[in-house]
Amino acid sequence: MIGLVLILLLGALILTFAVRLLLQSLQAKIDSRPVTVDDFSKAREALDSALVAAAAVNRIFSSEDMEFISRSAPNDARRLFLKERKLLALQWLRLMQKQVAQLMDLHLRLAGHTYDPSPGFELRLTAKYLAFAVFSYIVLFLLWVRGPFKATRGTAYTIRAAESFCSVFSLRLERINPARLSSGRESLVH
Amino acid sequence: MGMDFIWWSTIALEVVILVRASNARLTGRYLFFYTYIVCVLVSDLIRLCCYQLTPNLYPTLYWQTELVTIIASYAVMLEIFRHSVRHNPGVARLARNLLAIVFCLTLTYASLNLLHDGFTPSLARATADIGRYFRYVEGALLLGMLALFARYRIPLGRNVLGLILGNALWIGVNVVNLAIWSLPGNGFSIALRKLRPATYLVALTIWCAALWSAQPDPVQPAENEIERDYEVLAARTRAILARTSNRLVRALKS
Repeated sequence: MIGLVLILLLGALILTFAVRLLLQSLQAKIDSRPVTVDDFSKAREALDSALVAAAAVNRIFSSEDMEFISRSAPNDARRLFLKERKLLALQWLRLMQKQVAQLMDLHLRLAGHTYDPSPGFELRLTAKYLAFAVFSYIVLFLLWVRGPFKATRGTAYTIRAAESFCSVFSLRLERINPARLSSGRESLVH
Repeated sequence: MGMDFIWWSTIALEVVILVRASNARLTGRYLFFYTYIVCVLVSDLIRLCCYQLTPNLYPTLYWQTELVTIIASYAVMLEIFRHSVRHNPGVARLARNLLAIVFCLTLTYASLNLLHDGFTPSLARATADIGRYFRYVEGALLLGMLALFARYRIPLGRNVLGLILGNALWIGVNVVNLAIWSLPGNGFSIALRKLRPATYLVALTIWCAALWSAQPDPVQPAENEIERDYEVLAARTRAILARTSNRLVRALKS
């Protein structure tokens, strides 16, 4: 019986991947230009522009403004302020998700052209990316349900998990020779 | 009547595919695929003659010719592999390793199952069983290939995409069909018996449409516009993701 289920799964997966390839090819037809390292750099720059205003982003989640409004403004103004901050926080997070997804897509397309892609690293990268996606969706949900000020307090555990995920990325950078990263093109590592 | 229609239609489509290949000068480009089509056409004609002249020999001959065409269909896989990863040496290497592993695993699974079930005294049934396991191995190989193409977003031209879609439809449905068919009590199911030729007819139609004329391969990036060193690309992606998540955490912590 298990054998039969495996075979049925095999057949279903073949058909699913075939449909996925068809959709990918239709998508690629719209943008027939091949992907290059410059596209990757542009995606990085777009992501940077979402991150560059760190002070402004920090301000979205800062409780100081909320405390000030609570003390000195009427309820209507407080509600409006909360609504606007929530919207801003959601927009910022969605933009980040979209740009990171685009970056991963470019990474995979470029990795297809490299001489020696590492399946081990690809698997780890996929796991980390999925962790990032799950983490960001949890934060998005908390922002939507509780608003930007209460959400930050409620995400302490998630943040700790995310921090460990960041350190895994950073540690592995030590193995790479920085001179090669910037060879011929602008360095992408800051 | 319906089966006759499918039978004649498949033969007609196979002839059309071969004629178009000759007219569009595609024979040399997709030699393995057209060899497979010739093989299927010949087996179809032999079956047709046998069915008309000596119908009592037909069941045995059917499974024997089926086994030959299943083995020949590996040529389509080779063709797909050859054309898809021509410009992607790294993915080609990955695919070769992955396919070797998948091949060994599935062949072991199929051999163990075959030994466990034992050979039946009927030659037709034994041939059908071997053919079924060959098809499972082929299905596993195709799945491995499709997964890699989808993951690395390998750009595919219309000809190769048509080859893949037709083959995936044919093998995917065939694998499911053969698995259900082999279950006790399903051996004489008319619906299952009709499904296979109908699927093959659809697959042939896809191949015919996709290979009607030679289509250009997708544009490849210039050598100076792509990064061939995987370590460098991986490091860049890691760095960007690390920085992004650091900033996200910092923003939420503030």
